[in-house]
Amino acid sequence: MDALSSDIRVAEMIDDRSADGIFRVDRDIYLNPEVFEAELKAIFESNWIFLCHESQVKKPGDYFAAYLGRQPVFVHRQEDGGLKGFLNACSHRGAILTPTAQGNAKTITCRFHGWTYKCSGECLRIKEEEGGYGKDFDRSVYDLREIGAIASYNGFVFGSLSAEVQSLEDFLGESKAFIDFVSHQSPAGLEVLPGSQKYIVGGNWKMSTENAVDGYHTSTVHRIFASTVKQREVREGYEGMMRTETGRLSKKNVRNGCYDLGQGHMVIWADRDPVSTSPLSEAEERLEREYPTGKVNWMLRRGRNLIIFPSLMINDFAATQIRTFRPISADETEVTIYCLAPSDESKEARYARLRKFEDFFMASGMATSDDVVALEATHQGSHARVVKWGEFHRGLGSIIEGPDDVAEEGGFKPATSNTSWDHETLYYSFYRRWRDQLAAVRGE
Amino acid sequence: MDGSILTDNLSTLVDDRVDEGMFRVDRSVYIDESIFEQEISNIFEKCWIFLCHESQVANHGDYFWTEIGRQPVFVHRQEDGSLKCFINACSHRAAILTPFRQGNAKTLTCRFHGWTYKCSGNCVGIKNEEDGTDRSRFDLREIASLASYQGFIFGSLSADVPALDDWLGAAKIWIDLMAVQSPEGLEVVPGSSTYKTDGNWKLQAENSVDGYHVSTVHRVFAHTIAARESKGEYTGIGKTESGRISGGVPTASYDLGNGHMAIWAQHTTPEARPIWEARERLKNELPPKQVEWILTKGRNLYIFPNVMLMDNPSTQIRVMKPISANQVDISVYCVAPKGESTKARAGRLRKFEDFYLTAGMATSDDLAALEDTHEGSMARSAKWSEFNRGLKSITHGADADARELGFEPQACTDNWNHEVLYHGFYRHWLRMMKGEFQG
Repeated sequence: MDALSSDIRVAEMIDDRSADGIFRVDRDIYLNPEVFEAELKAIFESNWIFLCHESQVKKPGDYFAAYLGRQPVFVHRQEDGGLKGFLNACSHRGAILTPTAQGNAKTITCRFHGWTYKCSGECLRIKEEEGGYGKDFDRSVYDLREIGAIASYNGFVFGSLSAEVQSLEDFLGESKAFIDFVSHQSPAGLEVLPGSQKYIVGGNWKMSTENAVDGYHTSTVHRIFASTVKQREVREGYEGMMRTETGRLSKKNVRNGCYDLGQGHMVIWADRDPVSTSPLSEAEERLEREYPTGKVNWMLRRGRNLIIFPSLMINDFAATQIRTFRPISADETEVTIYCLAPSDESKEARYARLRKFEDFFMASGMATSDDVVALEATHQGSHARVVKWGEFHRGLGSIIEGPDDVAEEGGFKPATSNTSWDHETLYYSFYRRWRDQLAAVRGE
Repeated sequence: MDGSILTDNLSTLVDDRVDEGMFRVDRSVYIDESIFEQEISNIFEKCWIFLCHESQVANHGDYFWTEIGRQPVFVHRQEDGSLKCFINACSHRAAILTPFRQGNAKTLTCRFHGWTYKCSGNCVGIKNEEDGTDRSRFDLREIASLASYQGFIFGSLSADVPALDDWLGAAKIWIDLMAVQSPEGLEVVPGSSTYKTDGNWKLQAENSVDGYHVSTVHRVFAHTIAARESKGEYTGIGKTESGRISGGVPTASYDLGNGHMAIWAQHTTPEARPIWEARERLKNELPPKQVEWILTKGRNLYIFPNVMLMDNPSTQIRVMKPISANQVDISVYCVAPKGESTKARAGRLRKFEDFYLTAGMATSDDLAALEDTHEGSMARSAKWSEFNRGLKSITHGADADARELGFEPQACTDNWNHEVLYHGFYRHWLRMMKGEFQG
């Protein structure tokens, strides 16, 4: 680190004068390792962070290993059906306890020196305990350390290293409606399908977060995806939900928009064109019976990308996906993706969902690879520090304070709405929250 | 990063309250890069560092390239039979001079611009030299200290080090127990294996004298060997005695001072050891206690900070080179008594491969455990690793075995499962980190 870097003030890195038509961020926020350290402390290691979906830890003993910032943790389903989150480190030498990233174990035995813990975290056995510590030894001091807070909303499990956090529902705020739009799709609930993919992006995590709700890049970066898919469908005669609706990638008359949901949560949306391509379209009649049309419009007839601050993406477009961003360094981000689906959909719908998941979202697919190139190019370009600012001005002229007409029918209240998913006003509360949390931890 | 660790803060990393039953180490010592930087400057560049064994540079012109901390150096056998050690960097543009890790060259010519140096380090050739150049200004730079003990060569970038004998102290007799196994001395068998571990070097140091992990991590090794041997294909020296692994044999651990540590465990089938064939000769040549230790006690010795000598199923020199807080480079060599029978050598090599090579059945399990431990140390909300096993059975100074063999440890316990030997390691580590160690 150079000596000058300690002079940074994060409050000055967000030039927030939207009333004067200016909202811009200092590109050093993507590059500076000191900023990165502050992010880990202020956000990832003291905030609600998504851990896993309940369907990944269904039965007693099911565990799921994840990270809170750089700290390894795991979620463990208890005998009584409750969930606990523990630091994933043996109390003895700190070895990772979970043998695989996901699995089932009623007790976990450390593979290094054989210490055993119950599902509850209780230290049950210490190899050669008496020979090491004598009689009357209090083994309970070695119980596993629980994380500060764990809670779930509609099956999405979040954890925090700090116990001093607002309630999960308060934290999620207006984003809850968008979680509902996914999780209410089936009375049987959602399930994360087996399998996942991880890849590393050579770029800052905030760029991945921005990109997840950036409608503006799609007609450029995913133009080839759209034309390839279209050609394939014509040539191979794809029908119904096997088709990928590409209208929103190429046409101008598909309605779309974006919301700053407040508290750093953001969403973009676009009308499906046509709706029949969605695997959920098979449930249209049931949904109409169960929910008001306004809500069905949001569940079925609009594709949506949601970011929950800071690093969880839930999206329901070509397929349905959970995507998480794990910051490795200022310059590197680990991305993990899962396909998420209504538990009781038909085989045909599941098949179509999976094929479209592969097409778009996998690193080996035809869209994500283009995103990764764009993100790495952006990270690299940010090193041209003579150009200091990245501006977020698109749509400042059309910003709507509060909900627009379609938000009303969905029953949620965004901080601001805007008329196009090309617009950039949705990022404001994200960067304001980012700034405030970092400034607090740095004592600015 | 919190910025560099100040000397004042270093003490807080080692919570040394043995009187109150507590010795623990802040897990940031394994993951903090600023601590690592200070280890390079205050430990690796100040300490005696193991370089190589004399058998690796036996003849005039033989060289061996290794690293002291992060600085490349090479040992070069001189015409008069003595040894010198140079910084491995051409005086011109600093290119590495030795074409291989190990080789023979009476003169070394830099492959970049062709400058040539004699074995003595004198610069004897500068390509297209201008008249009147004072070539001696470009002689190679020798390292500050170089010495060897029983064929084990150590060097230091610092001139301000204790005499090597004093530094090794109580560890010397443990080296002797290997070196005296043949009147002709030891030889490093050709070949080596080098691998990187994604974990801190101190985890590897701890692991080399950690008897407690053996019955867990190497259980599969023991089972596999036992199953293989039960099929009757392996007999005599071909057998690997795995009694130690399943436990129940006498063992002990020692804090040898200056950060050196050792453990031993009693062999259940000493006749499986390659040295067993020399037992009668040894009895004639050496004091009975030494013979007993050589034949019947499997031993792991750790010499602070970078070398381990193992005499267990096979015999090994293991050398560590720290790369970053998160990575260490490890090289393993099989070391053997000169003149042993072909049968003994074959048994030794096969067991070396079985246990110590990364392609073997034990080291790969160690690495998984060490990488898991490094990764788990990132869970900083669980701050401490305790080293309290065996606190109640500690003996200060020598136990009966140590007295009889003739060495004076700082402390010992009667079980290799115990952790008090690490107290000496971390106390010495702290002294050097704070710059308080005087030779």
